[in-house]
Amino acid sequence: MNILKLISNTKYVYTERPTPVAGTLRTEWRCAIILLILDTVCRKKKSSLFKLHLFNWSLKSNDNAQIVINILKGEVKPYVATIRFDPYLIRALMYLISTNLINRVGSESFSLTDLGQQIAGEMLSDDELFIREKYMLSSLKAGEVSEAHISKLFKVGSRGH
Amino acid sequence: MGIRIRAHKIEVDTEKGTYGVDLRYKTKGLTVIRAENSQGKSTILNSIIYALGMDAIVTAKHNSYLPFAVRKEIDTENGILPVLSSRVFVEIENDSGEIRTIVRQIHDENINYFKKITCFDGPILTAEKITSHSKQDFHVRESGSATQKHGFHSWLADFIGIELPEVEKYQGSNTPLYIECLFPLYFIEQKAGWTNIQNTMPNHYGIKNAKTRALEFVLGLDIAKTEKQLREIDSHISQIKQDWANEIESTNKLCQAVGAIAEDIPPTPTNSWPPTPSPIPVIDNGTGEIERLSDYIEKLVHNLDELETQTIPIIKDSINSLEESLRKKENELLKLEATIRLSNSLVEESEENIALMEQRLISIQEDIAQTSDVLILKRVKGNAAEHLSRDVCPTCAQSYDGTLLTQSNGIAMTPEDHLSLQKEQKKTIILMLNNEKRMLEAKSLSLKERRKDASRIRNEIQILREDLVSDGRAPSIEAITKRYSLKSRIGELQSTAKEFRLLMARFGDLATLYNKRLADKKKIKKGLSEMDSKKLNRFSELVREHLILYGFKSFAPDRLDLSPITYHPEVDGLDWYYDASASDNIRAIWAYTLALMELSQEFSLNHFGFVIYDEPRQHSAKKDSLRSFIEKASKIGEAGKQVIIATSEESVEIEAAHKGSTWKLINYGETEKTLSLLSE
Repeated sequence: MNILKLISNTKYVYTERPTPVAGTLRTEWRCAIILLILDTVCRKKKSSLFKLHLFNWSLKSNDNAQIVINILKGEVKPYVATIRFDPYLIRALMYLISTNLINRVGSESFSLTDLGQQIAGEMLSDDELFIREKYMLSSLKAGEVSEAHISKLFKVGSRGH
Repeated sequence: MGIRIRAHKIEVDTEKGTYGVDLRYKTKGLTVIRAENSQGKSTILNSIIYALGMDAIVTAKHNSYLPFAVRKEIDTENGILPVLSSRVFVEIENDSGEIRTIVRQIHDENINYFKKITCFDGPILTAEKITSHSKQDFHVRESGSATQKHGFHSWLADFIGIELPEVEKYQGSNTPLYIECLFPLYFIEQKAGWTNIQNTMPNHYGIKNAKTRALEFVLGLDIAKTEKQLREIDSHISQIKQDWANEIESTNKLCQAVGAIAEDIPPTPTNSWPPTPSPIPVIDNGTGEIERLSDYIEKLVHNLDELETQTIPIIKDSINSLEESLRKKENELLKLEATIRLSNSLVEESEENIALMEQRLISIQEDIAQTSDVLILKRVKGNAAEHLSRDVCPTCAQSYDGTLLTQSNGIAMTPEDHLSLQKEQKKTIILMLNNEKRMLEAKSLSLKERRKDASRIRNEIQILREDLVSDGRAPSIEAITKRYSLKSRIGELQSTAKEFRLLMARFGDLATLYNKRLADKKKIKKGLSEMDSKKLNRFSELVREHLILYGFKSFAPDRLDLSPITYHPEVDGLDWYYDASASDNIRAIWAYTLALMELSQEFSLNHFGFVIYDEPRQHSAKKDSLRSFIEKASKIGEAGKQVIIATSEESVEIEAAHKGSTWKLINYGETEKTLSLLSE
């Protein structure tokens, strides 16, 4: 049997298979998380971009969550971990702005709209949703998540602290 | 226990206003809906089934069985109008008088998710004043609809006041009997419903003998309980077998620790204990010969006694043999240390693999949790789902796949598929992880043994050296140590033998328990209880009465009986419906379903208390049969049950039958459409 001939006479059909996408990269998950962050750990439901990045990274895994909690409680220094600034966060923020769930305030801050607050409230009261994430966010005290506290901790050159 | 349908409304929004129907039903008694064929009777009745999420009894697909008029375009006096959106409301009441209104979307151009049912706490359709009611969203026709908190059918079962029994699936596992499986007895569908009793039973759940199981539940037969007891005993028996296997494993471990083997333990529980031959521990006596442990211990004790009678030799006399032993031991140690180094690196490699796999498992589990949250969000969380889960980009209105990735990455897997993929991966990893852990255990065990050996040899070398450098007249430490180690070996073996006897007693307990459960199983009387037979006898009596009343002709009704296996009617032990005429088929289904409801007035059954009949398009039962059927249904209804019948019988006939009776008639004129303009 002439294999080459056999192969060249065969028709090939390629079908595109769907690629797996992690839960954290799905719009619903990421947007829901941002709403929860703004609602639970932000004064006046408003947050700086840096703080959103910090909590966004913290909610991606249990390890990350533990690291951020320890940093904010002052138990370890910020330089123990590399906090990743995830580019997809910006996309999710854009989505939320265009669906009127958050507003942009000034150049680097975001706040919840009334509708956004309502949705965050619904998600908070549902005990089947985001169990781990809600637990992480609620384990921090108000002072530990204030913008001032965070910017003091992460200020460049604060290693000596 | 039971529900009634109080009112029912279909709304079809078009550009020229909202069309639909808004009906009230008698909750105690009969309601007849009369309309010509293709005027929309079935639309009305099927939409009730749709609202209750029972579409599984009609189709496995989504709303495709509902007609065009409610999901594509509607034929009105203003011409044919495209349907913008449509929904159905059903107001239901349970036996405690609680009223709920449920709403399900049929069509909407902007959404493509129709597995949500919203439930309002109170009457929305029949309330005189508009008041606000709290509402709750449920999902339906998805895995978990019958078991999860947010599943509509688990809510519905609660509302009706029933607890659905566990039944066996074809694959052997158990599942609750789905509420849809009961509905073929309460809703006789226009097409498939009339071919046979319970013909519309959904079969995709894979429930073994679903029709019989459903009847047993509705009839409240004790036989179902007996079956359950039997299953419980069976599961206890398999638990005992599992415990037995565990005891075998611990016995083996105990023996292996001292180099012995447990022999003649039966692999499964036995009827009597101890079995013959009775299990004993055996051991290699050092020469490759297998011996009973007790005999071996005796021999060692004897050796020790003998040694103790000898005087301990002094070093000077045995210097040559001491040197020879030292060389041998040193060689042995060198070889052993090389092996230890090798096994040590194997253990380390294994530990590293395990750490990596555990890390991977954690990240998969996290992804599963996150993806599940996405699915829950999409499923029922009203506002959140609406705003966070869209098919089009809110800015540019182009379709997108719901991920944050650049869209050129190819098609994204749906979260459902992704979840099942990750679950598969999790299974694989767990399998590999367990395998690796078992290997690590074996490797560490052998490493530990080697280390023990090495330290024993080092000890012996030290003693030999000490002997060689000490005063020639001193007693040989080697000889003393030999006595000492023999003594401790005897102690070790004796305690193993004692432990072994204790374990054997545990086997004895398990065997007693096993025999007791087997006896219990024999004691349970299989088959129908006295009450069961009473119920079934009365049931077949009623079926015969109904048949005579409706003019059943194919057989003499007294030849008809209920099968003790399927509880369906049979003639001389055979299925009847192949031989019966088409019109008798209809009569038989009337008789069976209505008699079942009548039976629920005399006995305590798990009947929901309503039946809906959608008359077959080409109905062939005679007019007077239909008339007696309506009279009977009305009579049973007045006693507290609900019957709804849709028919295309001539208007005059129905009007005549209705005169002077108490049932409710909803009559549509010959050219009148059932779906009419509700509001502009």
